[in-house]
Amino acid sequence: MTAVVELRGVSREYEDKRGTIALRNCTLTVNDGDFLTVVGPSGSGKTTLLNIVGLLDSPTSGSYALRGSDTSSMSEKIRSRTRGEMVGFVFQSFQLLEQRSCLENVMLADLYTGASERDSRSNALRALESVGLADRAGSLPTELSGGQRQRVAIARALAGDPAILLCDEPTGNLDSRTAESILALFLALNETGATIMLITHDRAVASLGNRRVEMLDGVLSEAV
Amino acid sequence: MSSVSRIHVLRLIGEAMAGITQKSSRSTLTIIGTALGIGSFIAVLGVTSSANSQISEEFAAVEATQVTVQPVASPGSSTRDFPSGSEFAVDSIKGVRAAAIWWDLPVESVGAFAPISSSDISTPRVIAASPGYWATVGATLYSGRFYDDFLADKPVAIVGLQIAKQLHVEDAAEQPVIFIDGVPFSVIGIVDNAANSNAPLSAVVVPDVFAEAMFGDPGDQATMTIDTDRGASDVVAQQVALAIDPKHPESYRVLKPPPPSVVRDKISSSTQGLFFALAAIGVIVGAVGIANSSLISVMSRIPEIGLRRSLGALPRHIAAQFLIEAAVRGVLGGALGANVGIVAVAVVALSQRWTAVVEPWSIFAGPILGAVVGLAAGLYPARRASQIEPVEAFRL
Repeated sequence: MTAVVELRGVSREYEDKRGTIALRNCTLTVNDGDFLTVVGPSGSGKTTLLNIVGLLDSPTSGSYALRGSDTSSMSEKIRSRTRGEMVGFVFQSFQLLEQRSCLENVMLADLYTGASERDSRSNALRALESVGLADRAGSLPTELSGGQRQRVAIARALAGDPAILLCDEPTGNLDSRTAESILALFLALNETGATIMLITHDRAVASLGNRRVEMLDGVLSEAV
Repeated sequence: MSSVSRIHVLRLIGEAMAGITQKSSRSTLTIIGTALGIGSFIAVLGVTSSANSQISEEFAAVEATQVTVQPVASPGSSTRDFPSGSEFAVDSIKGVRAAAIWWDLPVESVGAFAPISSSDISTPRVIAASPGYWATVGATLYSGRFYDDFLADKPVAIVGLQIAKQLHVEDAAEQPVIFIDGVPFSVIGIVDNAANSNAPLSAVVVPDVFAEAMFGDPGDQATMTIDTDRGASDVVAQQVALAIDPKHPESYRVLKPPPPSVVRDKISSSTQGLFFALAAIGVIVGAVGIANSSLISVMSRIPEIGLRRSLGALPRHIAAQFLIEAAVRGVLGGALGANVGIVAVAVVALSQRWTAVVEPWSIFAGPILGAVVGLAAGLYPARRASQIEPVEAFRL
């Protein structure tokens, strides 16, 4: 089994007045095909962990390798390219551009990787189809329900064929019934081979993954 | 293009265009603001050109047609320095339309009643002039008539309309009497306009022969004014002194107005400077509008910037998108402004009955200037946008 994410003794300290330490000596491996959930209360460091794995932030100590490449030596340009090509983000608030159609939103996925418009359109349509929204490609996000919007956001994350999907409280803004359908979609995607790392404060949601880690005060511990 | 900065330019332009239409009301207002700035610039240029063209035409219309001759003061001389028959000699020069000799009279009082101890009105200027004076100054009558050679030795007067009112002279047909230093003069005409001089409008003018008999010889105070055909003033000026006194032409100083082109150029230059300054203010206002709108756009789109960064956008991709948006707003505003400006020039020219003059390059200058203004105004907001870190963007 190949490791997608390998964190070794990662810490993240902020240079604020209090010298906040968001992550403390975290070690974590996420393998191909894993559905890893990270559970913990607010302020426990979950989002910081996700930002580091998604190359939006850098550890102040420790090492992080993505698909075997040490990220600490990457320039900003390489980090951006790697992020665009290997990471798919799903946010709690969907982060869709409301004036753009669903298709155009999903096509943003490979805008910065050099894909042609034709390839991008084809990838986006395939991704929308995989989340069951091919027929809403031309709709505006404002015309969709919350669950459908999150599906569009998932399609955008999938369109670039990433090595890992990073999901930040993806059901946090949804009612329980819609949340179930989104979680079911994640399970289905995982069954087809998608590697998923999902952070949540909801233990019920966290129990759906095949692996679960817990965070408290920046310390990571793998649940048995 | 390196592999790390791969992005299809057309797709980036498409994103920028979408960014403009995304907030269409804000973009529309920004474009209108820019259009007003650029439009005022184009309009000012056009109105300036049209006005200058009009000034040229009007200067041509009054092109140096007035030549003035003054005797050079000769100490001890007690005679009138223009020999008799001077006007006839000058009249015979080709290109001379009219010539007249005139001088100011040392008058103490002018009034409507006699006897007087003081002037009824503040003493107006009193001029003694030969009959040719009226043709020389291009005067027109409100009422009455001008005097001629027959009346030149009679106590008659022509008054300007303004003076006539002050003297309570309403109609010259009745030939009312006014008193100059106690001497009665019949007012035979009231002048209401003079194309070449303002003097007769605010003066009392009496015939030269009578004035000479009453006040004495003017000596070297007399002036000869000559009205010439357009373009003939140079030739007339060269010949006039010789025509007056062939033996002593150096006894006369001949003055002619500066060429109209010099005056015109001075006026054009000063008006253009002023108008350009006004136009520049308009453009700056447009630029501030774009900068303001772009900055607000950046602030309101921080989550979008974060999203784009999470999708692999480099800071320079973000900067490029916002710069293109600002430039496109500028181009659209500039194109609209050019049209608005040209219409404004046409309206102003039409209302003033001028010939509208629009420089051909100004049609293209609008969009180009708009692009430059947009790019310049978009630099700071674009830089701000590119500096937003994705983590900070998602935290907001």
